[in-house]
Amino acid sequence: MATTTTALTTVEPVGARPRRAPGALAGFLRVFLRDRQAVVGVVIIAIAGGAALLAPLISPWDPLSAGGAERLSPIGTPGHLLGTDEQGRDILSRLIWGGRASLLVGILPTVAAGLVALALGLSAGSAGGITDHVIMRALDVFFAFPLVLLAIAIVGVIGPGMQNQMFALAVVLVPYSTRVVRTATLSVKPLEFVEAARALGASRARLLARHLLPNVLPPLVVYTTTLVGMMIVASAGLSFLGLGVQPPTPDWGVMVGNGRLVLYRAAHVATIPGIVIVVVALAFNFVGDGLREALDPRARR
Amino acid sequence: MDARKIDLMLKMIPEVSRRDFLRTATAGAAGAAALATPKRARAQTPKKGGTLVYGMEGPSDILDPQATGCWLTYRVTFQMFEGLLAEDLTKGDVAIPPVIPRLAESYTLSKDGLTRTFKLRKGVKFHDGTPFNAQAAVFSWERMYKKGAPHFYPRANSYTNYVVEYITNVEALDEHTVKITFSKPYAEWERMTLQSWGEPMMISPTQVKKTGNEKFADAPVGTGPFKFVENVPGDRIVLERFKEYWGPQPNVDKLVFKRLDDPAARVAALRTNEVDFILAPPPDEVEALRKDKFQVLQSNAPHIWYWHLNMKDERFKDVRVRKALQMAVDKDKMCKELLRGTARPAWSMISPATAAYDPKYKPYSYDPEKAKALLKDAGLGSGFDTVFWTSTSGSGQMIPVAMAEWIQRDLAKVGIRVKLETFDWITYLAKMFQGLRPGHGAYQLSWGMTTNFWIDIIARSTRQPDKGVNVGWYANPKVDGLLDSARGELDEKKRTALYRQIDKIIMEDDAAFFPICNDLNLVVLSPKVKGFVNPPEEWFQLWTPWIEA
Repeated sequence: MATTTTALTTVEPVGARPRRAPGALAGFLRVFLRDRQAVVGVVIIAIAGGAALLAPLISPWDPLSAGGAERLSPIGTPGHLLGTDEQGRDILSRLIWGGRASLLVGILPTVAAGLVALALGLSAGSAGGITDHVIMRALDVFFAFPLVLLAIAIVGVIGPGMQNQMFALAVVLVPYSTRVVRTATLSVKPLEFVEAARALGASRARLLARHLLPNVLPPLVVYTTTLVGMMIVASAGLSFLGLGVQPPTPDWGVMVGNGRLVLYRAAHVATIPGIVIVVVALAFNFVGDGLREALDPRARR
Repeated sequence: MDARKIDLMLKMIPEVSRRDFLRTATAGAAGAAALATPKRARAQTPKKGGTLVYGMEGPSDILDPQATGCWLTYRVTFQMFEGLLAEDLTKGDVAIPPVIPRLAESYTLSKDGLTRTFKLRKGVKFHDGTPFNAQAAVFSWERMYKKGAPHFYPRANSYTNYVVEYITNVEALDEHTVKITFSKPYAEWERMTLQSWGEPMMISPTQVKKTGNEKFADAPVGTGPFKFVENVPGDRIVLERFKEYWGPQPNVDKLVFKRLDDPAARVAALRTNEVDFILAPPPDEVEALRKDKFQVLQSNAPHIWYWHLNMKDERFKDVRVRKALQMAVDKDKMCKELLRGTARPAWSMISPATAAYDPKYKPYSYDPEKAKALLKDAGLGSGFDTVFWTSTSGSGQMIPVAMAEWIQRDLAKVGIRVKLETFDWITYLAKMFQGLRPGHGAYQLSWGMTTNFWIDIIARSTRQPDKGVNVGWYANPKVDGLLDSARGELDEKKRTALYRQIDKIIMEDDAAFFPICNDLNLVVLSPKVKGFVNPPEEWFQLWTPWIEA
């Protein structure tokens, strides 16, 4: 992961504008909507998120109990469009309800980690010296452990369950996101426009907010969106070990995990939620790319 | 099969008649598949040499048989070590594995049941060349029971507690005779020496003196047909044929126990020839494996998949609630649909493959209406919430989470709203020694032994945590009294009746446990493996199988 971050953080710095242009939002939307991939991504996420939100209204069956059909019914079974799983539950209903846990587990920890990383990375990068050393060396400790293993250890200590799982995932993501922010900060800091602003007497807060933040945000947003899909899968791993979402609560990752055991006999049980995870993760990546373009002040000009 | 080999085999299994032996050899030759399929298998000549790889479904504990427990571990140590007695696991077509002398040639039990005298087999050597004799046997026993002996090992003592509890003395009467003295008569003692929880196997005194008690596990030395080569924790254990073994030589040269925790990965490894056999395939894969010419053997293993119910919980301390539970789950449907016939519904806490097991005993039947009525009677007409614990995998656990979900759904139908909490196997076992807390309804386990004494281990009131594994704090003085009588009852018929009476109290008066099913212990073999026997046990011997080129 650390290797990909460097690629993502090569930002093209721009001079800050004296104040926000009146058409900032319009400009952002204009660039964003021009990106067809990003729009597709937004549509996919909206469908998944909307379905999850409206689950009680649109789910054809109770996701927790069998609807009378045989277990492992194939795709296209009357009444069960996507078939049934190893317990005889409707797969479509579980996908719709499962979006709640999966999207939450995918988005919340990455956003939380992103915010913390922004604070840490900006402080470290802009202050430099001892502050930089203390923050980054402390975070280096986390890199000594594989990401998922660390999450397992944290949940192991604070106890299983979905909230604790999200907390653990957020904690383990902080060092990675912080590196992204710090590297971006460092690449912008020595540039002339920042120097100029400082020479003109801009306060530190102003430097951070007006000059560094706009240049640091795009790579972080891109990076964060790529993590969402990964977190959905990582949370499946934790649930598989009994540390995350507890049965019978549906979750896409858990559905893939359970489907493994019937892979030869009924491949669709694992494949369908697997495809959903891939598609949604891809959608987040598309949106990330779109955001990067749209948030990049220079691209908007 | 040549005469010399038959002779050797007969020497190994002294009380078996020649006809019995030939039948066993036949069944063994084709694997116990002869059981599952009506076709009569023909005897084949075993091929010598090669490596047999077992895709093991979890980790083995340390390889010091006296100081460990667990079915998985015994599957390894059983090939390397021998005790004075053994269960004959070369037979698949018996209800209970017969007890046979192994490193003893014979033994006698005194009338009062307080001394057992063993005549030891001559000409037996440990893997390191040390001769096995009465001194070596006494050394092994002292390591387990004699506090104060220089080689006494507390860990071995704690694991073998059920075996050595009442031993007061072990002495060598001459070079080949050992006498063991007990303070109380202990009828099931022989069987208890053959279980996987603390295995009183004979270990080389020379090696223990060389390595010390703790390090013996890293370089174990026994008398069995296979000897230790290497142990790569988390990955594999390798054993090789012991060329100076006193009995018939194993067919394969090498055994590899390759760790493959994930059921889907195990099946994949079997299909790609990476391993030669596996246990516990996902039930839904069995049909496809059979179709693809893999051999599927099942056995009447002493296995029960069950829940300890929490007597300290506000809800479950009411016997009506516990009884309602027994009637609320459709075990037949679960065994048929979810487990695809790889297990039988269980209604009793007596394990199969024991004298007291009665397949017809069925104190309850599936009756959700009656269950609801009982709950209403208990003032819980609108149902209640509770928490059940299970593991995500583990020794004998089958597919625990899917099974728990299935049960959870059935229970919800009568108003028992279960929240499941799942743990990985090692964390889960640690919880066992803490016992269930109020608010938690049940703790699930898979266990059982080929002796009825097992019920003493889970149900006696003095074995509550942390002194034992009576996880649900069950205590009934009447049961304790009957357990005492059964332990000292040397007449097998009377003893069997006592254990049945105990089970009846546990199941009908108290409904203290919640048995779900008996696993048929499926073994899936590659088509090239012959001679494998799946006995009514949780482990097996690996000296008869061979690899057909």
